[in-house]
Amino acid sequence: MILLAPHCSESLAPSNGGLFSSSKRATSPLQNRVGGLRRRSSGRLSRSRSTRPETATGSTAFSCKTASGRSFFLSRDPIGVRGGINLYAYVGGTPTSSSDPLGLAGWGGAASNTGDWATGHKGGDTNYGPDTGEAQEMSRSIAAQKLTSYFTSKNSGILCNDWQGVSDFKASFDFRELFGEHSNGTAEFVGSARGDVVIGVAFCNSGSSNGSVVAIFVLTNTTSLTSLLYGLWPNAWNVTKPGAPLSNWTQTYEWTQTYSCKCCDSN
Amino acid sequence: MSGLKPIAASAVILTSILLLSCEGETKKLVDGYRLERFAENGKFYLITSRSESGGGVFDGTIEKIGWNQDWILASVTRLYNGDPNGWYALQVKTKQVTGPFSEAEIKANPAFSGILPISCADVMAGKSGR
Repeated sequence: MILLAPHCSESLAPSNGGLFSSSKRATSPLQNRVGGLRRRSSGRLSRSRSTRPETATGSTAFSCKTASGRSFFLSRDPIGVRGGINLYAYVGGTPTSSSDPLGLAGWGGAASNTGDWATGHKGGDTNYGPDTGEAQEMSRSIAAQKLTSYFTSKNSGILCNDWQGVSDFKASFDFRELFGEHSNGTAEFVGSARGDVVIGVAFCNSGSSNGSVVAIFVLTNTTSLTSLLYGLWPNAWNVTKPGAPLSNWTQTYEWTQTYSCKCCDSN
Repeated sequence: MSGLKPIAASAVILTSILLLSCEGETKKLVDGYRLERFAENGKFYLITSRSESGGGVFDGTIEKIGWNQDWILASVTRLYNGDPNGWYALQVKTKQVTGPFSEAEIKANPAFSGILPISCADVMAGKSGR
């Protein structure tokens, strides 16, 4: 949906080099697809013009009841709703019999992924879309937060239709994610990843100078014997057959985020 | 932690190795600056520390690079698609980055004389861009 705010001086209709592409980007034919995105021959991601629906985030709280019937929390996840709507997920949903004082819960997921890769249960290319738990967990990783912070700071004060994406962000693993409140199983398994942000759509609210930008965040990681062995294992010796034990496994984690923006200068 | 079984401990160690090994190879340039080839995309970044996120010193990926004791010159593709690509110069002592410059401007600037930028792959292979 592209609307033009009535008192804006400039059109918000997308054009070449406008909303969906940068004039500095390569114009070579689109090649590989990553989920709903396409990777150009330059390696940069782009997205064809489309409207992605905004997702409404509900809030749900899990609680116990006292004799009086009043709800209370035994011990909420210290990171709150940022860790998902199930505030007891970190103790497997059983707050009365489990605890995670050291924040090691993420290790289970990391070890499970490692085992699946080593035994060949996971390999090839896997796309974790916005609705998957893996993508949601990656979106909460410190690496993703740094990518988000970079993207928003770069677009701070920019009009909606001038927002630009980010390519080849080096999203390095942060060791705070091993323990404590930042413990994150998917991030622990992924380690460092490549980060990209593509502008999905931008629109103005009818009769207002305010609008929104929907950004698509993508983190990409390849697990291989070369990466396992610090590059000492030659790439040529990697196992490339999908489904084989220890074979190369590329994971793509994709999620969207909606931002408020100005459609035109207020003066 | 005390209830951790040996098999789980092994998985934890293996996972630690996995996540530790995701950074790429690096090559020392000058005064603590290093060229890194990031394993996840094969692109090159100028860094000062292995754990940095983002685009490194030039806020982008590097195709060609050259240096001497005073300057590091690089052909940079900026991370933010709204930023201009081109040649950028880092003054080593002041840590100031200037640019973008055109190739002609680089060649005409006497401060950069004697610097011969080469491909990052060549730098990694041991060739010198100085």
